[in-house]
Amino acid sequence: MAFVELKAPPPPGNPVSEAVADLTAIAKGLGLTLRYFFTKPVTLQYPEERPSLPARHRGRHELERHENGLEKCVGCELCALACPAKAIFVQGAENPPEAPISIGERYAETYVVNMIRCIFCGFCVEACPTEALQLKRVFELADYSRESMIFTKEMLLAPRPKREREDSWLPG
Amino acid sequence: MAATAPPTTVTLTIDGQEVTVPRGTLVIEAARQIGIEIPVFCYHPKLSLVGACRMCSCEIQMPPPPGQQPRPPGILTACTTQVAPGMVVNTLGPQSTKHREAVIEFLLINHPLDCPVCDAGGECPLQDNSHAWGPKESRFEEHKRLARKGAPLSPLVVLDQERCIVCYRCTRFMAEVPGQAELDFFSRGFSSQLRTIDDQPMKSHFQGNIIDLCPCGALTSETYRFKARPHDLDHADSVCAQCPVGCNMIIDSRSNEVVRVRPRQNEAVNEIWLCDKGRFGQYYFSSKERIAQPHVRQDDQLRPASWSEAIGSAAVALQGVKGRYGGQAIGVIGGRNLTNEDCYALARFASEVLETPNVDHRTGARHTAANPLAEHGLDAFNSPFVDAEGAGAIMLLGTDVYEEMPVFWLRIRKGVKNGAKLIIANPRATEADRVAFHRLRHRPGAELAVLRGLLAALVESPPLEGPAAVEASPPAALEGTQPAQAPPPPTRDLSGLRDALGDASVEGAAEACGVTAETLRAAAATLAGARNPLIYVGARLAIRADAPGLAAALVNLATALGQRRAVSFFPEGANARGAALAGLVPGEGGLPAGEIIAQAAAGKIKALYLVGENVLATHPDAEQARQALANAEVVVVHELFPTETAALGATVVFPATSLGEKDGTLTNAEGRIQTVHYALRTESSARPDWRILSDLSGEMGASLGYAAAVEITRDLLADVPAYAPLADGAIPAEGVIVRQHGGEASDGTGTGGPNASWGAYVPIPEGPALAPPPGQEGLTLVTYGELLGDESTLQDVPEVLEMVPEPYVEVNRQDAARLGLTEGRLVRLRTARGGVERRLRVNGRCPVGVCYTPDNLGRPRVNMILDWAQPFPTVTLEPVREGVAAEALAEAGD
Ligand code: SF4
Ligand code: SF4
Ligand code: SF4
Ligand code: SF4
Ligand code: FES
Repeated sequence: MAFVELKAPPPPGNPVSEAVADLTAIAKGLGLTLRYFFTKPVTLQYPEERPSLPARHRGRHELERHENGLEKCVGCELCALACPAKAIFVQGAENPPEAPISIGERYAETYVVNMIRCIFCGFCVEACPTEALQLKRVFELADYSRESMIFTKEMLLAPRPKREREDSWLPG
Repeated sequence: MAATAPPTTVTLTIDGQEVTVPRGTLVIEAARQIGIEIPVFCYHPKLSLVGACRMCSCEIQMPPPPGQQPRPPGILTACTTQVAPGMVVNTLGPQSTKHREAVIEFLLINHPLDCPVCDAGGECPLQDNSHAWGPKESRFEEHKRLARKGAPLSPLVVLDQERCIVCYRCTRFMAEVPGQAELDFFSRGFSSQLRTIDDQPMKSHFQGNIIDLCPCGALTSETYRFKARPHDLDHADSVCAQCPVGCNMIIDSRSNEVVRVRPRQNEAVNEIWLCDKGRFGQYYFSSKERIAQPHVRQDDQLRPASWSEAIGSAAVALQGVKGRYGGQAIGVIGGRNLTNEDCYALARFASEVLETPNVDHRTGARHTAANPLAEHGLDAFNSPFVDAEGAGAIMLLGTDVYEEMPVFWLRIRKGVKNGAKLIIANPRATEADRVAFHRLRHRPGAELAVLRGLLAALVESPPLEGPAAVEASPPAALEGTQPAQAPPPPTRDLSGLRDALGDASVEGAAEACGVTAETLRAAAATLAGARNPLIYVGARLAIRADAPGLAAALVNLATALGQRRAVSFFPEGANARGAALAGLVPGEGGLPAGEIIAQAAAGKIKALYLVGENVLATHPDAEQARQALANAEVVVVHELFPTETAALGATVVFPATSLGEKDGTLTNAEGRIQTVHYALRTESSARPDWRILSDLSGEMGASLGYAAAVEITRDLLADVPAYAPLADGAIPAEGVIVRQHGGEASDGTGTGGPNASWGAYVPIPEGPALAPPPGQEGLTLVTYGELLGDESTLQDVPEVLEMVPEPYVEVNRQDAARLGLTEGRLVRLRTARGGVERRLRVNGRCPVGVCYTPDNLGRPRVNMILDWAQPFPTVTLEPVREGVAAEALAEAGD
């Protein structure tokens, strides 16, 4: 492949026409600024103001439940296998028949997402055969320590049905 | 070979490639040879053929008879069709792929969509074949069949009937390989049900193998259930150290914990099998019960200490004893269950640092003479395991091989299937008796008389011709397995034997051992008439007081049979062979292990160094072991678990690492050295035994100077003559058989070597009387170890513990009736020493007047009531009222 040849700098021209060109450029720039001065701002006065996120925003994970309260996740580890960042750790266990946790024979005894590693690609959601995993619109994930970025199953599980959704403040 | 004999090879075409294979080869194997994999479900090279699944169907066309039109190809199963000359096989023809697609569609009709919750997911032939050959979609719209899910076939194996594709691999395995047809199908068609025949849990020691064989997730392991996915696992190639077979295994771990163990193929050792102890008994590597820290005794209490403190105090104490009484006053026991590296370090530590000749790995060994087996070259397996497959007769003397070396029993069974006649000499019936040709039910402790009887019978009627004339050529399945198909010597001179035997007669021996003279004669004739007779002797006989006599009689028997390799002793522990090679045997004037304890109890041995030996549970006289621990001034213990020996007697306890955390080598019964690789990181402060010894020796001023296991391996291979051919350090993956004595050259396979005394008859020393004479009041007690004993390695896994039988005592029906006892009663087994409680089993296994109890099961162990001087004591049984345990205890105490 040939390199693009650089054009030679223009020869020095008439100083008057150069000054006119410079001033026009400045006026153009300021014009743009002025136009945006009168449009609606795109930034938010976060945290006083909250964003309205699109419905399919990929934020923090949530492990969903069935309507009867049982967990949808069966601990199959397919999400962990799909994850390109190796952010998920799942360990299955036998579902106790007398006090079932999921609807299958198996449930996730341990379910951990390392939010530092996660790149919010959503592959895990796609891989999940039971639609147990969702990426919700929760985006405020910053914290002061690495440990606190390890999200355990208790933190990720959706509350039982008939609950106040923790993201209910979100518009839309 | 006659000119008319048909050619032994066949040439055929598979997918356009010509291939020449031996006549009788299956199409599927012929295809495998040229790298063409035909998909299968039911076919397995180790099992018989059923052709149940039709997955392997191929288009197969036969050449037309001369002058006729070729016929179109037929759809035949490659796994049941033998090759034929000129056959044309098309594995990918349109008809066969369509056929396979249909097979998969049919199988999936009733196979549940369980993959996400199924343990087989990710390593499932049904998944793989469906992806590769199945239709994209199913046309099935009705409801799937519902059947039992998560139904236990035993505490270890779980069946999911919905997933079963009825390939019969599991039932064929159980019926054909261990010969325990515990499983079968009930009903047929889509309602086929896999059940145990009596609806009781499976009892076999080999049930884990059906989990490996199942081509889908119908059979899963209770201990591995839902713990991981195949891609989560870390794998380490290792070798089982639970018995002397030395099966090759893969340890799969996740997050530094063992989650499962799988067999690793080694056709010379375990083929592709593992017994249940090997498969389910390795979880102790990550046991929570392990000792995590060194302990030292202070004011009669063990308290945790730092490594430097523990090493320091052990060094001072041992140095003190050595200074005051000399190295002779120190006894070292250990090595049966250690790696060769640990053994070698221990042997060097004993001789160079402690300077004691009292070193032994054979717990309970009592002859003071030099090893009586070594004298006759019997302290090694004289034939490789595979030889059992081609034997004409196999004799098992004093062993329950099913419990002692389970996977080797599978090899013996193969021999029996190939036509070997099995002769069993045992005071009680064992699992092996089911396929025995002769059963010599002798009095307890009368093995020597049995051997005399056999020898006398041979002298009486020497075989007329060489045995080759009696047995035809070895079975066809065995090509290449026989390193020594050398014809037996043409004349067998039995004249010297009569002198060696003295005045022994068959009738006299029959009288002494309780086996009829006819049976002895018949067994002798079978041995003499068989090509390649092999005699396997239980490890317990090697350490008994009459071992010199047994060894002499056996070597005479080998000579009389004209079979140099005939006699092999089983070793006394998983790595006993390696321990002996590494030098853990009594030195010049040294004491054997049993005597070390006896002398310590008598106050002559002042310090005990016990490496992985829980002598209170394993020494055949617990009272003596207790005294030994009490009288010894210093007891240093290396242990994994807080055993009673460590708790009661130890001055210093060092926590050692388990096999799963070590690199090293092990040497199995047949003398095969194999490499183990570590599977787990050590999370506690435990250290490998060699490292403890190296550190301690440094503290005692004579450092062994080892910093890594490989350094010891190098020294070991260079130092021990038997390992000399390996001195360049390369041990192949399948291991190498080495000879115990560096002497006789090995024969290509690295096997063989002579019985040193073979060829001349040696006098048979008389042994001490071991059992009370018959006709006494009470029952004679026989004890052996059982596979699932030594529960400390199983204690973390409740499923496996469920398989461990409740400590029991077994008596004959007649005796039970006489004593008024019934099956299942709790009874107290009593000797003069006291009593232990056991559950009663009433059956026909023990003859009248004999009772049996496993000596590695139950607390207290039966050795509590045993006396060192009486290996076969007379015991009484008395019923115990249940629910009054406290009373019973108080009574037992007085
Ligand atoms: S969103 Fe992507 S990176 Fe994050 S856990 Fe799921 S698969 Fe892994
Ligand atoms: S979230 Fe879904 S994919 Fe992940 S383990 Fe649970 S069921 Fe399987
Ligand atoms: S349980 Fe497994 S091995 Fe046994 S018949 Fe069914 S599919 Fe085959
Ligand atoms: S036969 Fe012995 S070596 Fe093999 S798996 Fe069983 S206990 Fe381990
Ligand atoms: S593999 Fe040939 S019929 Fe099953």
